[in-house]
This record gives sequence, C-alpha cells and structure tokens, in this order.
Amino acid sequence: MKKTLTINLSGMVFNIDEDAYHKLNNYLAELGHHFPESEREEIMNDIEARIAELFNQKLQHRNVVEIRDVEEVIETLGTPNQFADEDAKSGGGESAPRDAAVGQPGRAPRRKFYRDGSNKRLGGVAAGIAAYLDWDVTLVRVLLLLLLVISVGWTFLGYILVWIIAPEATSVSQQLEMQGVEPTIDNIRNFKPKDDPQERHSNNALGTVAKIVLVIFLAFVGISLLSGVLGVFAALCLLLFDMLPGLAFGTWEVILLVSVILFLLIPAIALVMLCVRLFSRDSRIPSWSLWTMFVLFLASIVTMIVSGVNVARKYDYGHWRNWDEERVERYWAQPKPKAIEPDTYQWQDSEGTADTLDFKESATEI
Amino acid sequence: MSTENITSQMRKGILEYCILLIINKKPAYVSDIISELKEAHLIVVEGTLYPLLSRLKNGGLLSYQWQESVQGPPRKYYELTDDGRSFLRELENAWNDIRHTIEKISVDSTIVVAQ
Repeated sequence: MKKTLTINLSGMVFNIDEDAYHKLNNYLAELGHHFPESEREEIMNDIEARIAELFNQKLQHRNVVEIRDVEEVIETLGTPNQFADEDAKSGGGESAPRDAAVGQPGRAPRRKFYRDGSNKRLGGVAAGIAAYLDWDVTLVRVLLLLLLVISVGWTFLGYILVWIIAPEATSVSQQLEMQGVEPTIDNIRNFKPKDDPQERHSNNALGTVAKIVLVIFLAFVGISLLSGVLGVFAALCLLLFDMLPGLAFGTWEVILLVSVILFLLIPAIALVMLCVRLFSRDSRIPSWSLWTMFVLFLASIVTMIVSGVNVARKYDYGHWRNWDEERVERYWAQPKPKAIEPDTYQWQDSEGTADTLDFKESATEI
Repeated sequence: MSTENITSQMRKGILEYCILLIINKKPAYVSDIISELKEAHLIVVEGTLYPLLSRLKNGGLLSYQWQESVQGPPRKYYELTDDGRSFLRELENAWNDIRHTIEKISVDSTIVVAQ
C-alpha cells in the first residue's frame, strides 16, 4: 500500500504516489534551474501543461500517477543535458559529453581534500589522500606505513592531526569535489556511490579492532596527561602559599608551572576533540580554535624552556634542599644528647654526617 | 574521431529553421512539431522546444492561441507573425547559400558523397 499526494498541474488535479511525487518534484526543480530567470515562468507553465496532458493519456484505466509514468514523462521531455537549445551565453556546461558523471572537459578539476569515508580502514585519511592525488589507496597506505617507521612514530601524530582537522566527505557534492568533479545537478543525479556493503563490513572488522586499540591507547595518553595537569595544578596551588618543596614563590616559578600546565592541557583537549570527531561524523572544528591551540602550545613550550632556565639558575640543585637549611641548622643547634656510654662510641663522628648537612658554606644566596 | 560533434552542431543550426518551416505550414503545438521533426529524421526531446518557442515568441516571430483540448489543459498553438515570415524567408536564403556552397565544392571534389 502506498501513500498518495494530490497535486495540481496546470489546473488539473492528479493523485500521485509519494515516490513518483518526489521524482517529479526533483525533475521540475532541475528544469527550473536550467532556464534563465526571465523565461522560467512561462516555460515551466508550458511544461507543466504538457505533463498534465501526458498524465491524462496514461491514466486510462487507473487514477493514480505512478513512478513509471513520471519516468516516461521525463524520457519524453528530456533532461537538461539533452536539450539541444543552448546558446553561447549558457556556457559549455550543458553541451557536455554523455558521461556527465566523469565531469566536464576543459574545466580544470579543482579537488578539495576530504577524508574518504567510503574507503576507510581507520579514519579515511589514507583514502582521502589517495582520492586527492588520484593514486591507488593501497599504495598510499604502504607509503604511510613506511613513513611511520622512518619517522619513528611521528607520522602517527600527523595522521591523528589530519583526522581531527579534515572533514569527511559525507554529502554527494562533497564526494564529487573530492574526485575533482563539478557538483552540478546532473552529476549529482548520475552519481553512483561505491556501495558495496560486503566490502565495507570486512573493512570495518579490521578497522574496528584498530579503532579499539587506538581508543585504549588514546585514553591512556589522555588520562596520563590529565593527571599530569592535576598534579602540576596542585603544585601551583602549593607554590602560591609557598609550601612547595623545592621552589620558592616567585614570578618565574609561577610562569614555569603555568606553562607546564598548558603544555599538558592542550594535547589533552586535542584528544577530546579527536574523540568527538570519531563519534560524530559531521562535527566541524572551527579552524581558528585549532590555530589558537597550536599557537598556545608552541608558546607554552617556549615559555617552559625560558622560565625553566631562569628558575634553575636561581637554585643550585647540586644541593637542592636549601629550603631545608633553616630547619637543619635548628636541628643541629639543639643540645646534643648525652651519650649513654661515652666511651664506647662517640657522637662526634659528625665528620661524615656534618658534611652532608653543612649547607652554610655551599649555599648560594637567593 | 567521430562525426558526432559536427553533425550535432549542424542539426542544432537548422533546428530553428525547421521549426519555422513546420509552423509556416499550419498552426502547430509542441507535440505536433516533435512528430513532424521525427518523421523528417530530426530527433529532439520536447524539452528542447519549450524554451526555443518561448524565445521565438518573445522575439516577435511567433504568436500563439489557446485551444481547448479533451486530453487535458488548453494547448498553445503557435503560428508565424509577419516578422516571423520575413525571418523565415531570410533563413531560406541563407540555407540556399549554404547548400549551394556544398554542392559546388562537392562537384569538384574527388570524394563522392553517398546519396
């Protein structure tokens, strides 16, 4: 049982199946776009009248327009790329050769880079590269793996970056752009997606395993980063109250800790964004936010180095417990306990121990 | 290399001329024109004609009349205006010139074009 709609074509009423309606609607829209604004209304009226007439002829023994009726009408009237009426103004677009899906000759295909979701193992990055360069995808994968080994892993980071940044080609017009084909209405209509569910599934078996491993790894990294952030943050709080062992409160110290926090936090945020990207295909990350993150990250590295050097210069970490100096002095200022057996052992083997506790001479002034 | 492109261009070139010739015989509407063209071995889809006829009408070469039809909505029957008729005569001259050129060249050429 099908749902029907009621339409009015040039003053005549028709019952039409829902699927036939959509096909007809799309066809009329396509025609509408083909004609210039000034002539459109009149031409469309004529065409609608003709369609009404054709429907009438077909509905001899039934009263609902079906999809094959629409298809026959389209065949009779023709699609825009079959119209032999173009003038120079409408451009060479409509007089293109039969195979519209391949694209128009003479128009340099400007490809856009998208991750190719229909061909992906992991994130479609390799497939996207293959589409952009028009290479075989397996070749790209092999090269990537080689690169991964040579770069001792850094290529992995690059892969992740592309995965985060580049969007996946989901809509048909995007997939066309990925191949360097103009996304005209004709091309979109003629587009045949590489729909092989079998192949997709077996791809995804390996892909899912890889994805799980990847997620576990990323989760591990993420947790480490976050605990690092927490730890340094706690240290920062202590520092503000001058209770941090090893560092006295001072501007450089604060700057150092803040930059370390940023250094750990920014990758953690990037990981979160990657996970979001993994689970929702269409999420677009505004490029300004990525750029700010990247710039901040670099800045944090520089700041870490600079402030780290400045802090290290202040303290002589050869004997780094100078903070303990006061306490230690007080300890040694205490009256020494009486030896229980003064002759058996002497407390004053403080030669050795005193050396390690004697900061006075070697401590540098803050 | 096929002749497709060139012959297609040739057909497009004479299309308007053919249409005017047909309408000149008697007032016609789109479907009539298509079937006559088809009988004369010039195949175009209906969609080609609508914008073409519209343009000819806007250019003052055609006028139309509505006629009721039992088969559906009223039909536009096109006929030539005076401007249309003089336009047609010019086209006939142009066509004769072209035909003359080809015939002249072919007679002297050693390649015999199959009739």
